[in-house]
Formats: sequence, structure tokens, C-alpha cells
Amino acid sequence: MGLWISREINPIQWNGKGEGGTLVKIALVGSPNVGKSVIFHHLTGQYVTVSNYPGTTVEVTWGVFNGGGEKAEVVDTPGIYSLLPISGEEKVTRSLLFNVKPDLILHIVDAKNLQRMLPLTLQLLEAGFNVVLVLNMMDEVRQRRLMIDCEGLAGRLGIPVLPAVSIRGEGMEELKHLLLTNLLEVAPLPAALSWRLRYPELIERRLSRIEHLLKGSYSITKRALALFLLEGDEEVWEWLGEAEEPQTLTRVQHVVVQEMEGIDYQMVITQVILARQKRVDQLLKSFFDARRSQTPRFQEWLSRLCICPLTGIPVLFLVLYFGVYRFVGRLGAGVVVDFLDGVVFQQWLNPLFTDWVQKLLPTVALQGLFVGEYGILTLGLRYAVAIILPVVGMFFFAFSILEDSGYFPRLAFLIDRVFKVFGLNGRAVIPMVLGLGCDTMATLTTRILETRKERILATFLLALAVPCSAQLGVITALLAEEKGGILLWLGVVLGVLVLAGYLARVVIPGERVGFYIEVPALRWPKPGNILEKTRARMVWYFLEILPVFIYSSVLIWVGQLTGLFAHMLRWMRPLMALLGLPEEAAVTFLFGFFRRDYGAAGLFDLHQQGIVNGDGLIVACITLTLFVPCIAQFAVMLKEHGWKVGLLISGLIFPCAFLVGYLVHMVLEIF
Amino acid sequence: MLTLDQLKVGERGQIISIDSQEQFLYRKLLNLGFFPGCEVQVLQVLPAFLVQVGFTQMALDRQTCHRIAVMMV
Repeated sequence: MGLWISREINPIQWNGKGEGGTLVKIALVGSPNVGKSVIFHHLTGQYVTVSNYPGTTVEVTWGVFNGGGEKAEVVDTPGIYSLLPISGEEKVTRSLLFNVKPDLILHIVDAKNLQRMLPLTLQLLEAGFNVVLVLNMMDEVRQRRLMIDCEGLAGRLGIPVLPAVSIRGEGMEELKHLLLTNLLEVAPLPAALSWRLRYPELIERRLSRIEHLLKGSYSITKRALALFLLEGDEEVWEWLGEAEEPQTLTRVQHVVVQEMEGIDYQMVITQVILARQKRVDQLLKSFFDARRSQTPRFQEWLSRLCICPLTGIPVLFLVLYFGVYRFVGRLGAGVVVDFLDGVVFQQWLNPLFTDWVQKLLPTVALQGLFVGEYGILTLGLRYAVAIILPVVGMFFFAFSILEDSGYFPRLAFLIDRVFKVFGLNGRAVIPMVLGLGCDTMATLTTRILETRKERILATFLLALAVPCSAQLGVITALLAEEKGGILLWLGVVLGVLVLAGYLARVVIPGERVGFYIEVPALRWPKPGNILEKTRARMVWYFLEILPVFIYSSVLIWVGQLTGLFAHMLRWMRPLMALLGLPEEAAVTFLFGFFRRDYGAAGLFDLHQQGIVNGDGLIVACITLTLFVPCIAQFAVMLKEHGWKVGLLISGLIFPCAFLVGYLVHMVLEIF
Repeated sequence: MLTLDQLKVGERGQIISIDSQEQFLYRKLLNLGFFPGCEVQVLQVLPAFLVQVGFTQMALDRQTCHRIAVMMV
């Protein structure tokens, strides 16, 4: 999983027609995490388009395969386990296959789990598609000493079966060659029927009845449609509605609903799955040999280390200490920022900018916009490039390493119980950890959570108590000098997180969903992947922050000119007094409105100037961490959950942050 | 009735049925490979359940395991 950014160059029309109108269409289908995207990129190269499936927020990626002068459109579908959809994304994949009717489907599977993945291949064949089976991750098959006879299996199934290790590029040339020969021939691949299976009689009889009743023409076989109906699928009725007469619909309904009286859909689904699995086991016999299988020792040992609580928790602390604190905090916020900010900007660039601007622009006021105290160049650009970007970049780098190695599901496993205290479960580990990098991006990731309640809760906690890496980096650097400062800050923020989560869980309506997650094998992170993911995220972040820093500078400039800025600072003075802070600190909170990291960087400056120190620094850090979400995060919140929720969350957070700050201030006064 | 959460580390069970109260969960588990007839082995029970299904490992919490009826193997 990862967040890829598209490089949009030649947009391809949605109805799958493309430029020529008669391009061959190829669809990549498979469950999540089998390497579909990698294969997709091997086939399509640089130029892809990411667009939303009409009427949904589900993204689909389109590209073009160029081979021997011929072109084909390729689409990468959201991961599915079965053609009977459960999640919104699976529904989209099925709709897409139905509407686009690809000429060829590449079913990508995790080779070692072939037994579990082949049922989907059978479903696709049953639906009438031309399928090529790609057994990916063959390196893990070899590692485990499993034997797969691809040619034998191909003969048995009657479809091409290609072994591959997509991340190493193995099998990609053979795949392209296969597609080429197909494109040039125009004729579809020979469809053998040797894979056919029969379901229990009760189901078979209903299937043939429905097949005979259906008169319309469809892009998938009537048998497949009938099966969906008997399994209780509702969406299929819409498709039927468009292609059949009302009398036919009633008759079909009779077969499905009335005649199946006493037999519920659950049972049909189970019977179908069992029948398919039995057929798969038959088909795989003598082509899939696991007798000599062994688990790779080191991998297993390392996995145990991470996942067993006795060793896993220390491992987690090590990861947090080295990854977050030392790498991002000390190296990033410390060394790199010191250099970029202290040397590059303060000593070289700022004077240079000031010089140019003063020569080019007439009035002092206008000059101020660019090189004044809050100027676009001297402040906006400086913050964006010298203070924020290095810290965020280093965080994304560390995050990508962890993500690529497969560590996160193990982390999810360890912290599931803890997360349950504040209403989430282990699956929320990705958004919450990503929030330590960038809360805005993390808020987008809450989509992976299954219930609305979880999504809102996670969004709320991200907005309240998860500091983003820029804030984190700066704050850890600032508090490093205060005795016990970091511990106190950590303690208070965690405490607020747990308390708020606990309360929110009780208040927000909804059921809890159980925790279940696949724990894939650990693997060495691939440098290429890491660099690409880091680069993609940094680009996204940079494109997000630079405009905001510029707008902020402009707004502040306007505010200063009109005296509005001074007004707001004055208005915030009592709040500052409440926290025991000097009035200059109000500036950081004002900045914090625009970008939380902007605020942290402002605090950094104040500390450098000696204005905020000691206890005041701790209180300021705590309050700033808990403070309202930045503009970008707020915007994403509104988009994902609507105005009511967004405003409610922000409205709650504002007083909460200052209340906690006040309490901490009072407690520190006593000691 | 024996349920998955009652198994101890190292024990194997064959799945008999899944409590179909929540259709969503039922089908999700089916899709992930927990269907009647397949064999699971318990690897860890704390802080949550870690089981081996085929060549893959799955993490499940106690309440989800309680929904899966098994037969000792």
C-alpha cells in the first residue's frame, strides 16, 4: 500500500474508447498487495491517468501499452478478493469490468497462496472473460521450496500461466511478448472449458432456469449473473432492469426469492465457495507441491521479534527512538534545519533577497510583502524550504522504509488493544502513524477504516493530538534543553489523546468492528520503492505547503497594513496571559491557524530570540500541539466528513487546547 | 461448541462455520481465506490472535475469533 501520485499526461476517456475508439482493453485484476501496480507500471511506463470512477471517490488508474506499433489501453483495478463485492472499491472493480468489458484480464496472484487465489480466476473464467494468470512473487515460492508447474497448470486450466517477480522485472518481458502476439492477432485467446465446475444440484437447477429466462445481452455470462442473484446480490438487478422485460424480471425474481424459501443467501454463498475451492484443489493437484516447504529462518525470526509483545514493544521503542527522535528530530530538525535555515537562508539568501527587492520595488510597504518580517521570501519561502521540508522529507523516508518492509501490520497487531481504548483498532495504525508525518495526508488515509465512526474518531484524534513531523521535529529540538520537558509534553499529549478518544468513543454513535489484518512476510525494503514513495510524498507535500505559506504571508501583510493583525494579536493577549506566556507568543498561534508547522517554526524563532523559555516553552509546545488543525487539514476534513463534523471538531479543539495549556501552566507554577 | 479463541498456541483447528450475525464480517473473513473446511494453526494469543492459514499469517482480535467455530485437528 502506498500513496502514489499520478503523472497526468495523456488523459484517456472514461468510456474506454481512447483515441482510436477501438483499442484493445486490458484489465489488471487481483487482491490487494500482490504487485499489480508494479506490473501496471512495467506495461504502461510513465504516462498514466488517475481518475475517480464516476460517482465515487474510488480512484482508477489508466495507461497505454505500446507494443510493436500497436497500442492497448490498460486499467489497474482496485483490489478484490471475489466478484461478489463487499466494499465500495470491490463494487467499482466489478462495475468497471462489466461496463468496460476488457478484451483481456491479467489476473495477478500471490503465487504461494495460489490455492486461495485460484477461486477468483475461476470466477473470472465463469463470467466469460479471457484470462491470463500471472503468478507473482515467485521468489517467495522459491524461498519456501514450494514447487509450481506452470506449464502443467496452464494445460489443465486452458489459459496461459506466467511466473513472475514483478519487483525484479522477472517475467515482464514474457508478459509483454504474450500481449504483443495477442494484439497483433486480434483474435481472443483460445478458451478451454476444462476448468468448468458444477455447484450442488439445488443451485445448478436454479442457475439454468434463470439462464433460460434471461433474454438480454450482457457483457458477462448469464450463468455468472444468475449466480450473483442467487447469492443475494442486489446491484445485479439494476443491470437486469435495463436489459429485460418486466415479466422476465418477475419470473426471475420468483426463482430467486420464492423458490429459494428457507435457504438463505449465506448458505448459498458458502456452498458456492466450498464447491469452487474443491474444484481448485482438484485442478491444482500435481501442479502445486508443498511437501518440501520450509519457512525462511531469518525472516521468521525477525517477524517473531517484531510481533511477540515481549520483544516487539522494545523493538517499537527502538524504531520510535531512532526513526522519529534521532533521525527526524535531531538529524532533521537539528542538523539539517540549522544548516538550511541558519546558514543558507539567514546568511546568504535573505540578505540577497532583501537587496534585490529593495532595488526592484518602489515602496517600503510593497517591499515588506516580500522581504519584511513576514515576507514571502524571507519568511514564507524560508519556512517552507529550510525548516519544514527537510523534517517532513526525513519522516516520509523513514515511514517508507517501515511501510515497504511490511512492519506496519505487525505494529497494528501489537497496538490493537491500546487503540481499542480510544475507540479505534489496530487498522488505524497507518493513518495515526502517518499523522506523525503529515496530518493532512493522514486524514485522507482514514478512508481505509471500515466504519464511519472509526473514520470520524481517527480524524478527530489526528486533529487534536497527533503532531505532524514538522511540529514534532521542531518541538523535540526545542524541548531537548528543558529538563524533563519532552517527557512532560509526551505525557500530557498522550493523556489527552487517550481521554479524548475514550470520551469520543462513547459519544459518537456506531458499532465497533473487529480487528483482522493480513500479516505479509517481512522483506528487505527496496531502495527504488523507498525513494519513489518518499519523492512522491514530498512533492505532494511541497505542492501543498508552498502555496499556503505564500497566501499566509500575503494575508499577514494585508493584516499588518490594515492594522487587523495587531488587533488579533491584542485580542489573543489575554489567552497568552492565561498560559503565562509573553504577548509575542500570540504570533505563533496566529500562524498556527494557517499551518501548524508554521506555528512551530514561529516558536522556534521566538526561542532563538530568547523571548520564550523554560516553563513557558513547555506550555506553549503543549498548547500548540493540541491546537486546531491547519488550513489544509481542515479543508480535507470538510471534504471527507462535511461541514458539521469539521466545524464541530475544530470548535471543540480550540477551547480544549487552551484549557489543557492553562492547567499545565498552573501545575508548573505550583512546582 | 469450540471457537477459535479457545485454542491455545500451537493447536490446529479446522473451521466448521462462521457466526453469520454480521454479514459484512462473514464475507470479509471468507474472502481472506477463513472458510469452512480450511485449517488454521494458532501462533500467538497475546496481545491478539495470530494464526497461520495456508502460507499466510492473519491477525485477529479475540471477539472476531469467538465468531469462528472450529473442530480440533
